[in-house]
Amino acid sequence: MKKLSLVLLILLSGCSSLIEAYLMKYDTNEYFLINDVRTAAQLGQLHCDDAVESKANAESLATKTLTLMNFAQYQPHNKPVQNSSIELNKIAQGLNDQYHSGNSVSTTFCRIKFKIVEDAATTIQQSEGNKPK
Amino acid sequence: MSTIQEHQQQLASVNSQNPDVMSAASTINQYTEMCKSGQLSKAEYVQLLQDMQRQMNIQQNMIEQNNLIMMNTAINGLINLASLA
Repeated sequence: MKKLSLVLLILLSGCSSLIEAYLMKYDTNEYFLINDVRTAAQLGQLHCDDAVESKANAESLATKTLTLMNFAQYQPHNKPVQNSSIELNKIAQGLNDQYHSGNSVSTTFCRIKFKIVEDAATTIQQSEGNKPK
Repeated sequence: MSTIQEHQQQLASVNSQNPDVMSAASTINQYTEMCKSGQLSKAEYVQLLQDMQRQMNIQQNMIEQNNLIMMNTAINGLINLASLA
């Protein structure tokens, strides 16, 4: 009864942060998608000397970040990941756009962009792994 | 109109207790040097600067999420304690 009272108190408190905190849950699929982005970005850095392969890697990475963004979009109580996945997609899409712009893409830019995506995905993954299971 | 040198001096004079801010200032300076030396094109340089803001947004969102996770742990701990009492 006390447990029920506390839960009701939280839900009726009107404090949205409290409700978000209470209802947030770890999602295996979301964690997998973030890990997939991170791993692809890690591997992508190793092939920046090869423009043809890097173009394909950039396209693949943009698709993976878009998949994560779409997956998170309508999940309830998941605002931080929804917002972060939108930003992550913009970062990855920028590299893809650069390869499709017709201009040459520098090796330095390629390496930095993949590293930025890797670091950002790692930040999200660290937090995601701590979500209540 | 301001010059690149003036902005670099501004970045060099950033003095924050927050290591993330200091790291960001240093990274922007590195990008600027890379652009000046021709390692990065202007379009690439601009995109990397925009990415700095995106990275900070991600950082902020994850700080928010980490706070919610801590609140979740505390709420559930209190519920369990209340159930035992």
